[in-house]
Amino acid sequence: MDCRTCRILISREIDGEAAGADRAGFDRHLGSCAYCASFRDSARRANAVHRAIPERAPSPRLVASILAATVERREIPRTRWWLRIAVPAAAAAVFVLGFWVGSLMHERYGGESASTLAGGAAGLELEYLDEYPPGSFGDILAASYEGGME
Amino acid sequence: MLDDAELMQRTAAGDGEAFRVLVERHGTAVHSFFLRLVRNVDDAEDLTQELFLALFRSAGRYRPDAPFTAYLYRIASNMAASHMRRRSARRTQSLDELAEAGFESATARHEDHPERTFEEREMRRRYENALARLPGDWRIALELRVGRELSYGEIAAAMGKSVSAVESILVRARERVAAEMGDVGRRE
Ligand SMILES: [Zn+2]
Repeated sequence: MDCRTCRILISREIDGEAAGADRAGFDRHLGSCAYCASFRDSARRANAVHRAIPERAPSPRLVASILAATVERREIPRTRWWLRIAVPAAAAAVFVLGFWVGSLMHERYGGESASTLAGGAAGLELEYLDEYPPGSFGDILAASYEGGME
Repeated sequence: MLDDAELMQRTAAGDGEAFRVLVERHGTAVHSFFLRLVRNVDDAEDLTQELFLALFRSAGRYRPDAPFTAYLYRIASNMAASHMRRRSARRTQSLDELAEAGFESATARHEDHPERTFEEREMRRRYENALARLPGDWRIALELRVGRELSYGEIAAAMGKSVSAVESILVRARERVAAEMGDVGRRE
């Protein structure tokens, strides 16, 4: 066995990887080669030094920061929270406006067609608010309220 | 107990608790990995945070047929390697200095020995100096094997190399360290 093969086997032995077939050749080489025998001692010592280096846990502040930037952002969605208040508020405002217009028309013209007209307008507004896509006015408004788009 | 692959799938499906478990389970190992390679507390913290953000964002792309540790340390090794390339001029700290900077471990896998003898401290100092002079990917391979206890196959997957290339890097790294520490005078 040559030194190169022997050193590969020494390294594998230290790492607990399968050593290969030629165990007798390995032992014979180590018995007759001072350099490989010395390398084996040295590499084992170095390995023990490396393994003794203590582990360092991340600080609680770092863990909190990681979670704040990942799961907590998902669990407390910033944009939708705002929309949950904005949409019903807008709907209520439109309804009140519609009711007011409707009662004004009823007062002025009487009959039933006027109030259905106002109710129809309110329905149209609600549909629009429900459907606006991400990145539209509502999101921009929400983001500016929260201090910036994502 | 859920395994890492299941936790990644749950994370992808929006389960925040699953991701918390991953951070808890791998936080110390990942942080120690970066700290040992970049040897600077602030940089190690930045990289640890970056790694978990990348993991979180890529949870949907993770395929459980690849071992999770190889996946995790593939991202981590790439980050460490590019960081080491970018910042060769920045001052690094010895691991003892890092320990003295109030950097106490909450859950040390290996016990810290405050009563360590002078010889042991000296030995570690020489070892660290020898490590610091190795090429970046040799140090990464050694740390993945000895510090993180990855198999040769996992290291090969993490570093995008063949198993025999990993084996060869580990031998050369160990020969160089031995020579630097004055233990082995010459190579055949
Ligand atoms: Zn030999």
